[in-house]
Amino acid sequence: MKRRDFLNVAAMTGVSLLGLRLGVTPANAQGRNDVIRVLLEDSPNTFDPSGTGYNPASCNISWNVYDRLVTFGVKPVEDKDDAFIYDYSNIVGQAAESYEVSEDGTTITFKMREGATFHDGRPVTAHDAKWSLDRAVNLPTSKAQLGTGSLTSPDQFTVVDDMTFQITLPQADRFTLPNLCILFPAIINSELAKEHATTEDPWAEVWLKTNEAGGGPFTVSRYVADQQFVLDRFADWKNGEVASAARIMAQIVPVASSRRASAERAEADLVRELSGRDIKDMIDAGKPRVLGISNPARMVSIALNSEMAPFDNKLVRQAVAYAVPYQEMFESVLYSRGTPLFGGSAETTEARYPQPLPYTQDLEKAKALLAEAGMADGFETTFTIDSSLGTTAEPIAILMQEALGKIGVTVKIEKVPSAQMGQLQTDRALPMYIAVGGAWLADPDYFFRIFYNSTRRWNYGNYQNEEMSKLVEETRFETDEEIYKTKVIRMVELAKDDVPLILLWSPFQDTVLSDAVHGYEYMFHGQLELRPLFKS
Amino acid sequence: MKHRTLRLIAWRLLMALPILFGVIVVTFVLIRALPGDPAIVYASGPNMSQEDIDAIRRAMGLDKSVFEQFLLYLNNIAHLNFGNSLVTGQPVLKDFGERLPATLELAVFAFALSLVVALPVGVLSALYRDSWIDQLVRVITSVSAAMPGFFFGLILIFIFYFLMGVAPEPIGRLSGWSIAPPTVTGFMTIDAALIGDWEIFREALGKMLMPAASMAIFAVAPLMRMMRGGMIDALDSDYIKAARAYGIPRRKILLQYALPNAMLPVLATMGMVLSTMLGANIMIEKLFAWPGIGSYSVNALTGVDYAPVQAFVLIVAVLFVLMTLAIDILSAAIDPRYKLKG
Repeated sequence: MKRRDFLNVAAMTGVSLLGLRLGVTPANAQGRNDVIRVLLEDSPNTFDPSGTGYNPASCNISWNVYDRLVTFGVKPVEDKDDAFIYDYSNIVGQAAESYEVSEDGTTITFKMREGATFHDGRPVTAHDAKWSLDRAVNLPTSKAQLGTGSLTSPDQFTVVDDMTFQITLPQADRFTLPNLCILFPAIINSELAKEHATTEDPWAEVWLKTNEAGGGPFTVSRYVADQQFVLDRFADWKNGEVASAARIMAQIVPVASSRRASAERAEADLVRELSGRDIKDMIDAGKPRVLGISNPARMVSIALNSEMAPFDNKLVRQAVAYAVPYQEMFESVLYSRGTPLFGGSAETTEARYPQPLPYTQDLEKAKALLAEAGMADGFETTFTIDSSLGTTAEPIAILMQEALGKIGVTVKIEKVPSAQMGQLQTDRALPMYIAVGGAWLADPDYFFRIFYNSTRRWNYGNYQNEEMSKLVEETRFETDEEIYKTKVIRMVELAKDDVPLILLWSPFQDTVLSDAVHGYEYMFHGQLELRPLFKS
Repeated sequence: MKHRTLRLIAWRLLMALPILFGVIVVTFVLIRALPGDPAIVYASGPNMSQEDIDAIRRAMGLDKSVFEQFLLYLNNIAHLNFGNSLVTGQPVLKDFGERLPATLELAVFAFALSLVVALPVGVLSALYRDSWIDQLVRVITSVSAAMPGFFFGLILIFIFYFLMGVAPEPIGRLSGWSIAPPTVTGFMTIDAALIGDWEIFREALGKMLMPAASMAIFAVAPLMRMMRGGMIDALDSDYIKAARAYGIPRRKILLQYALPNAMLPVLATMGMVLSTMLGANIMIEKLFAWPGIGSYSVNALTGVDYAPVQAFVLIVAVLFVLMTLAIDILSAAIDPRYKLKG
């Protein structure tokens, strides 16, 4: 090509590009009843309910594509119209038509649903239930969790006949049925999965990661990692009430401001993961419908390493708990989008947890406690924040730094990526940090077992207390309600007095809905429960 | 000449191999030097014990020695196997195959956009030196150099989408209701044009405008300044004076004599700008939910997902090498004095 020609081509390209105009196609979500458009922050990373390294967003697919033997019932949310929440105390059949618990509680017999099929048309039988549960107690992710419900070995699962499935337990366990309602023990089309299993991969993990073999109300009709997924209704679904035929079109939009703009322009039906500030602005502007549902089992707290000086001294932990500017944090960081877990009463009457701890900001008391601990001159420490917690972590850290400065404690703020955070937590190397947690099962002893006991990462406050360990052990199989209650109250008292975790609040799960969407239901895992959603 | 060029290209590509090997070693070591243990990240359940974490580590092959891992990795690369992404669960090569065209399309479009704006304006300000046009250009370049693309993108979204509603929703490459054309090149506009679906073509182009403008904003300043500088140098040179003395028409002097000579420094800048657009538009991709390689590799990085990060750096390095080569060849095409060097 001659130089002159090249320049001419370049100039021509420039001119032709100038001639283009914006191409705008209106995509008003609310006008379309056959599609529910959802905007999410994170992309699911697997279809496998027991997938190793599954992220919370993957529940959006695996929860809705698979059914479980049983599931939690539903109840309306108090003082909210047209919103529902799972009922932990009411467990109903899903893939199983009904179930029966033997008198001594050691045998649970499930009757599979007649006529129910998987997406490929094969009937759902007791053999599928057995294979699915065998799989769940064999894979590391689900195995550990199901163990908390005495589900540990394939020997416990028996096929009585094609449509009857039985679980035997070493002893009655009130955590068995709730554990069958969670994400992991999904009923998988075993024949289909086995076709894709190999000798190295007997549970078809590789195949099930990107393929589904479910019998739930939705099928995956399109999935592009980091971009979108489309779920279509399974027309022959028999395991529950069919709310509508609308397909779900979910798009991954990582930046909150873009999600918010779409929500405000009513181009999406359901938008998740907006910050407290965004939500407050939208409520103040009065335009979109915002549902803030409180999950009592979730908490945000400040963890103090109870085995590391100076926080190994209870008085120092209490001093810090009295120094936290709770109300200011709650309003300016969370924009009050949650339930406070501070300023509770000192006396414990209720056997539930988390509940508000008896602390409010009282700098005089904090100083006195520090003096009593022999640290009137204060000390230096580090406050670590997880960079992925973004909008809330940093202001919390700064408010803490300022408040602790007033009682003579010098705080250095350190920001680390979440991958590193996990390791530092596991190594118990952090003196003070923001700990976020939530339990899938609502019993208070379960919460204490995970977050106030053990040597695992999730014992955020590194709390090693003999009495607590003993109580956690004793309440595991306790059936006497009175004894249970007394012991739980003692555990709550320990948590209040020893404060390895300074509870701040239980954040709302805020969801922005279009006016056309109804039947929204909050599930324990906090991700989307799509079964009851409909549009009109 | 033809053969010489080809031989030189082959030689240059050969010389790129040690560079790429260096890149492989450095990324391999660096990502492992990063704090954070993938096994702990993937042991996500609160009831998982140390044994479970160890089992996951073994399954990931991270219990092997670093040297052993490196040899395995080299062997895999030699077979063009870049491993699987833990985040998406798919082979890394497949992930990149899906995302690279999106990044390229946006980068090329943004690049074209910045050229269309920067070059004519640069020439104008050289022609009317120190006039009000020149002063205005100076202000524009200062602002555009100082404005982060991400922030500019937010402003664009706010004004054109949120307030005025003339721009399409700033999410993805198509509206989501639309059906993407069958993938041939991966460039949405070209694929749409291939099947003659002009509605999708317009939509894809419309979706690109705001992100492309946000990316172009940083490129406009250097290009404009280089164009202006190059043009001034050319206009002040003896051969232009001679041409004027001969009474050659002004238009011809500008387009045929001054412009080609002024283009050389601009071309070098163009290479840099395009490379940067390919590798550094992560925030823009995030903001517009653009399914490109930038946002993909950042997700991988925060998720300590080794395979995609290693592949990303390697792929961008290859692109850089190719781009430099292309710029050199183009420079030679424009300026006969410019010799391709081995």
